[in-house]
Amino acid sequence: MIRFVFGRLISVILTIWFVATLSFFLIRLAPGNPFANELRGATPEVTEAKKREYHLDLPLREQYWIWLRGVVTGDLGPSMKYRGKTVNEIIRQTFPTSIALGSVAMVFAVVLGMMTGVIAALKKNTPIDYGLMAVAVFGISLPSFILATLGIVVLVFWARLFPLAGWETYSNVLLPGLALSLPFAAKISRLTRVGMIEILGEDFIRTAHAKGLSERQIVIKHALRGAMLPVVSYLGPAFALILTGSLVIEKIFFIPGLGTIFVQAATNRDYNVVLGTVVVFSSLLCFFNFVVDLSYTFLDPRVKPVSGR
Amino acid sequence: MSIAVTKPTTRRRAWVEHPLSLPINVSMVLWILSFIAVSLLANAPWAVTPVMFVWLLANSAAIVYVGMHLTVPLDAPRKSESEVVAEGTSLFRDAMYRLRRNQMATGSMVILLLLMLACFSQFALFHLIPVIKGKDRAAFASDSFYALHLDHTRTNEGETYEPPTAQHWFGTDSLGRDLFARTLFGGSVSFLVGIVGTVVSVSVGVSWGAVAGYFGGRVDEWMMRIVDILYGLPFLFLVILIMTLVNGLGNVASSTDQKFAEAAAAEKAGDTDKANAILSEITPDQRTASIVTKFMPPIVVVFVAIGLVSWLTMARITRGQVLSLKEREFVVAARAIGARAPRIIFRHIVPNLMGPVIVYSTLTIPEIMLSEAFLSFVGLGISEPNCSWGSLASEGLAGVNIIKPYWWLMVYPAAALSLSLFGLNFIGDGLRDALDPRSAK
Repeated sequence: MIRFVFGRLISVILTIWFVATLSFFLIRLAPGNPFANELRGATPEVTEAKKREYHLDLPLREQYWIWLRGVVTGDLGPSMKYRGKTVNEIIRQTFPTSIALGSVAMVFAVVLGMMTGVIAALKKNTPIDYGLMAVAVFGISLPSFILATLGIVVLVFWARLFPLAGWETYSNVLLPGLALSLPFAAKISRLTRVGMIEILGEDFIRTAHAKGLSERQIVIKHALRGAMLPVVSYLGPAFALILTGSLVIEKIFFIPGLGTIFVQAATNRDYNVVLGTVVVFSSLLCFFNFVVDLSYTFLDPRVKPVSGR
Repeated sequence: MSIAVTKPTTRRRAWVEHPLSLPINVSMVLWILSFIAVSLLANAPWAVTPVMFVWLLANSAAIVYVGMHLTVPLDAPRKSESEVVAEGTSLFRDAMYRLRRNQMATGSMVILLLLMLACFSQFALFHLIPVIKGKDRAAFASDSFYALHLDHTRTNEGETYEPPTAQHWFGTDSLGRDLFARTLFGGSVSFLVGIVGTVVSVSVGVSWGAVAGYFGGRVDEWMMRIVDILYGLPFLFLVILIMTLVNGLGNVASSTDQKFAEAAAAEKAGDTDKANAILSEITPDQRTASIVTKFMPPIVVVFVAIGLVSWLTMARITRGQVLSLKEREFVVAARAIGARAPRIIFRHIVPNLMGPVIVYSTLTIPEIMLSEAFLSFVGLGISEPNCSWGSLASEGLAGVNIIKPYWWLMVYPAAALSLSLFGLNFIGDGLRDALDPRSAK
């Protein structure tokens, strides 16, 4: 177990390093610099001074080392666009928002998806099953921005159930979270249905029936545990997709999250903010995948924790 | 007391079994769609109403006709079973039969084909008609069919933000461009991205998975480990970074090209000094950018970048299949005659993978179209004056507000995008059920 955890931790660190390095060189290769607008028409001396302030005058390799050393010590550097703010401050302000949105969406996706999936599997080949799966196809194929717009038009403009945009009250998080989660709920629902149907045909379920257990106990205690495996292994990629999907949702609902900051920074060439965001997001994801892997070993007794695989 | 049992001589077919049911269903869907589109027109021409009415009437008549002809006589019993040599069915024919029975999938196929035909014919006609007529694009009269419905670049100053009318079927945008033409053009871009991206993702994914599965052992372990790691990465973030790089290069390149053109013009006018002055202003970096974008225009990078991101599932599926295929006799036989690994993989194993690969490519196309729409929505995909359904919807979203909703800007591109995504997903699911009936139930 300890070997497994250590092996995983090392690969997590390598992954984060790889992504960070790749992003560093990608964003540096992009033409333009953070001060292009600010210093238009300024004298070369001013530009040079500004560049020196952020070490941009050094060769790229040295800049990379300075930045990497900063990341290791937990200092992501100053923002080049927002004067006097460090990247750490920006992330501290916006990260909770993104996490709240992401986790609400994740919870919605899992709860909705598992519930509908189990119901569809239990009512296999009935109108209920067909109806739920048809809805799932809609959920998978509709882009989240269209779902979000539909949600805004129907629930906000017509029904006036939710506030339009902003980030002050709890009800603010519901609609964006729902719009973000529906595609994943649909996918989880399908996975659960297939897994559940497969498990319900197994011998140990028949044994459980023969023992006289109630349907409820069989489903919850015996079948669901096995049916959850494909869902759990989907959670990692789903979380990555939810985090990236939040870029669009944040834009639509004017939520001051990390995604908005990232896209803005990428177009403004605010190097440190871009890289800081990438590092934070990939660490979060790797950590999440790590937890998913661990939970997998608990759910399925056949999976032995081996280092590496 | 005896009960007389009469053997039934006729059989009532299900609706889907009638050969006319599919055309009727498709025509009904198209009728509903055109009914919505027409009823949204602000000043529909009078001829539309009778046409729609006749169409609906014909449809209803066909439905009644099919309903009356569902009962067919049972096939006459064969004299002897042994006389008839049962026709063997291949796996493929079986699959096609199941696919044909799936009306959702076949109907989607027809509608999708129509949609693609419309989009690509706009693309072709937009470029072809000026060449055939020998006229410049701007020279067409503003009320000609070409200018009204095909030219997606034409701006009409007096007609900005017009709701759908008989002239502009889908309305106009902030520059007075016809949204119908733009939706079709955006469709061809979206479909192209989807198809080319899928080709990239399939080639990478199948090769990766086949190699990993075939060699097994440590190679397999490492290759699949990489896939696992990549699965959990915020991959679209990297694509966004690539897109900022490419868009930046594109901007630099276009300004450099402009300078080159200026220099050439000056040279032509005999002003060599001025030409040299302009040329000397161009830095080496700008030259490189210009050359790089010549070979890799941003739109191609969109295809490739998205394709490179979405090969992971394909690799996993391929590996699983190869693991079982490589133990089969024909592979052992090939190895026994001395065939080398690349030949065995690509001549013997990959052709046998076609089923699952086809299924997942059909499911990859909508996924890639979604990613493209996502990128364009964030503002990093297709750039003006080109457009895709994603960028159109993004423009449209800006028009959704309570005070003065420019709903048509959002509704038409979004509807077209959703329709084709549904279609592709239904086709993919249908193909999967057809090729692998076990997974369906």
